[in-house]
Amino acid sequence: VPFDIKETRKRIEQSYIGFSPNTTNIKPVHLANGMFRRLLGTAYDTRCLFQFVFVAKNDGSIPRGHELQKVYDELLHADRLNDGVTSQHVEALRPTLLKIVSADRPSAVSTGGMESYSAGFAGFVSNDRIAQDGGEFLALWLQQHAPPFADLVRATIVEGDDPITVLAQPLLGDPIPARMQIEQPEQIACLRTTAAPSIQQHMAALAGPAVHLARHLEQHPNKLVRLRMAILLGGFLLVRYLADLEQLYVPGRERIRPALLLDFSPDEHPIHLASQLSYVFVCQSITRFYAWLFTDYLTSTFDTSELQRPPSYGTDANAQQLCAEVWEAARTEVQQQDASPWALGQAIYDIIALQSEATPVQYLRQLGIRCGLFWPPYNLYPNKHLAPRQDLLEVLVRSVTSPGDVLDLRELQDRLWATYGIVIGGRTDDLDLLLGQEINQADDVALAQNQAAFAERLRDLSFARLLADGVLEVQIGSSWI
Amino acid sequence: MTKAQQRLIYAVQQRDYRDFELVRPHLARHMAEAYDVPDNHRLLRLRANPQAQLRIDYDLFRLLHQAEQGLPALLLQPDLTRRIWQFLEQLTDRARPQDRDVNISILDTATGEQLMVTVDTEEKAYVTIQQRER
Repeated sequence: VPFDIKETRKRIEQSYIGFSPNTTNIKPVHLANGMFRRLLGTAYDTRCLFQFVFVAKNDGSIPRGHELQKVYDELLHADRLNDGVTSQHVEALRPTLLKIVSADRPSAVSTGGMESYSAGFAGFVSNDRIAQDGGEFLALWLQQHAPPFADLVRATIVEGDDPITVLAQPLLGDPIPARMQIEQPEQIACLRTTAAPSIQQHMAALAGPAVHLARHLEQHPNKLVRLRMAILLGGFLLVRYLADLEQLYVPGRERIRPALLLDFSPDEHPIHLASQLSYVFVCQSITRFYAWLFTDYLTSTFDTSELQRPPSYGTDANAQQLCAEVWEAARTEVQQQDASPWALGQAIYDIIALQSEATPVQYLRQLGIRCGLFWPPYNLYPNKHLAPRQDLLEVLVRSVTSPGDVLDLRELQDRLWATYGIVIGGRTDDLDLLLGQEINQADDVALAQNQAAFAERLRDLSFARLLADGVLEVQIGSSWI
Repeated sequence: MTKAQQRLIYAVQQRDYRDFELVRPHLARHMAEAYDVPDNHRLLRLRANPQAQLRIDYDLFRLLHQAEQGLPALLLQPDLTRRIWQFLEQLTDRARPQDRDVNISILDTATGEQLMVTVDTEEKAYVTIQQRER
């Protein structure tokens, strides 16, 4: 066996991509915890908080050490309760505090392991191991290419005066050494200073909006809003980054960037199908990138004779049988005249799709749903369309503008296209752009209607007003205070 | 939807109703002589910071009316409710000095349960925890 896919996948991904999109448990709360921990360079002891909020397991049993009397006695002993506070009072607060700090339903709360908290203070940053590397990668990337954004987030998470922090303050512990999920950040290809100039430029350009957003956020009076918007942008940037990987790395694909067609139209509108297709093309782009990625790894690591034998996937005999079958089919394909040069890489992706917890496409889907970009959120509908929630839309608009900017709708859409590859419709070249990407379900009329619906959403956000001459003016609030 | 059922509202600051004003937008006089502007909304805004404002048009008025009548949060239009959250988020007074004892009000919108918690931020201790049922 030349190599084990399960063992090497993460290493290959961390080196090429920076993190491993190998779970469907990705949620903003995990992104935030990983990002904060990397920015702070430390974690905090959250055992007391966990003991307080985690009242019972799913089966109703109470974990050892989490019994009400024990929790109450320990708090009393540590002088965390004044005289008038009884165990009944503590009992009332525990489930309420759990609802607050698990608002984003972090994965491990029900399993009793380490966990991430829906909160915005350093004292909540834990050594959680679930889906943390995406957040860590964001921190590394934005520290390098958007320092004002990283500085703002770091400064905000050490402010301890928000309601959640004050409420949990008696339960927060001391700093502890951080355990990072990305062990060798210097190995991330796209963040190395020796990376190709085009890659460095792309990473810098995609991080640019974070600097714009930071200018807006530093004026917002509410620190939790600042952090929530920062994480929303982080989630969206990861989606765009994953959709850009093929363009970033694969020779001959440098000019091809899958468009993100945002859908603001009612159900059954042609835009709906067109937006779905733009989602499908993003997924296909990621799959192609992976086929190339594994092919590149195989050709640079093994010689042809070593690739006669199939790789393995763990120790399970059935998995080994499957690997052998898929590999044999791929090798047969390679010997044909018109074979894809990436056939063996595609075989590895196929094995991952059949055996692993999650493919990169499933990761992308969950991330997009959780950051409010993809809809609907139900598994019954695997093909999503891109219908951004209001809060994400607000973040996107702010991230391509400066505070106080006044611009017309066309200029705003131009910026969204140039920065994120976002298409909405209504501009003269939008139809050609979409047809060029083989998205042909929406005509000029449908696109114009989608643009009108977009303008309406901007008005709902108080970003837009229709002037007497019919021009829609977009004004981005200069100040929140 | 479980998320809506789980929604909690918490606050550490109180705003008096006299901090707000309700204004009717109108054009400058020389413009008003030339144009008719539809009288279709009001602005609720903070006197000290007019940028913290809520546009109350017929859609929002209807939503608030439905909420008052008891329509579940799940059935309220998310785009419109977002406007309200956006407004509430702007009401934080960043310059307000933090007292040693901080009172936090928590409302569980699903159960109606209310908690009033006072935390001594210097001693890092719970001073009082009071529970109220709706």
